[in-house]
Amino acid sequence: MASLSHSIKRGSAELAILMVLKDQPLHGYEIARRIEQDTAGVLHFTLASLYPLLYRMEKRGWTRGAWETTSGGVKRRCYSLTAAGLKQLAASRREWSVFFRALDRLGGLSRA
Amino acid sequence: MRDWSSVVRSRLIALGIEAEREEQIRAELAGHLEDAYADAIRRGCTEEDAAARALAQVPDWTRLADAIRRADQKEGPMSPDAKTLWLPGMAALGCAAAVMLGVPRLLPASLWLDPRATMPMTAGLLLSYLAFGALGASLSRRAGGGIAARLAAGIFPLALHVSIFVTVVVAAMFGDRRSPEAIQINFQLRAALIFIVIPGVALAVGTLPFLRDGAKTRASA
Repeated sequence: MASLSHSIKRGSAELAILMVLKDQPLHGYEIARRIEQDTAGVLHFTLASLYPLLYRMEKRGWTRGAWETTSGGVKRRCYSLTAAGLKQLAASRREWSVFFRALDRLGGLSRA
Repeated sequence: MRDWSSVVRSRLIALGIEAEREEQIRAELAGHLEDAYADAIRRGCTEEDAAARALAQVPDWTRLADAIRRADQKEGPMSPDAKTLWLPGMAALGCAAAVMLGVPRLLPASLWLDPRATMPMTAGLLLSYLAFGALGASLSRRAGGGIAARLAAGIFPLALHVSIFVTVVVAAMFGDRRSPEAIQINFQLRAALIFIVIPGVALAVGTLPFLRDGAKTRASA
């Protein structure tokens, strides 16, 4: 699959993180892996791209980080969605839905 | 086993944030590199290759430090709600308050008693409330407010009306200068219609042009 442009990736990154955290708390590496797997590699986070975003989202109150011991016995900082994060997820989903519907009307994306 | 903590310590420059927070960030980044390394080993990479893959996640450590420093700071002095709801709402409310206080002082008292002036004055007030509703909603939209925030900012002046209405009604019912008429429910409903419902409808109608094009605005963002 062709890579998405950088700007679209950047705009969708927060939504992708919110979506994977909706189901369960995950630590940073798991978040990156889950997104990469679930999008067949279209969305790909590195350490450098992921953590500034995670910290910004935590500052905004959308996520909450807490140190937990994993099944492997190592400590990792796991992120979970807050009520504000769930609200933001719903709002972002609506916005992206509007965005894609508009593109679809413009260029018939669903038939492309 | 590589010591990823020392790798991060040696490459990531001081973030200049609270020491405890900085230590947590360094530990978290080291954990990420450790997981990436272990994952690559599990996939069959050699130790050297796995380490190179893990380190390739950060092409520029100085830039990463800058990005983390910026992300860890509070974003501006205003919250999104302040920008999209409270400020636009207060602007609309300020205009409404200016009209409520200014019009009785500027217009001669005789005009209030002239039946011929009732309609033009009512129309003028309603038109001004349409404009205030539009002002609140447009400022909210400009700040990136959603439809609910735009509507709330537009009808924000109603807060002033409701607070005055409640104060007047309570004072008329229980104050020193009680008015028997004020206790009657019909009077209160009529007063609410004139002082709250009609201005509220005018404000809400004023917001409409700025609610309808929400989809276009967001799609073009």
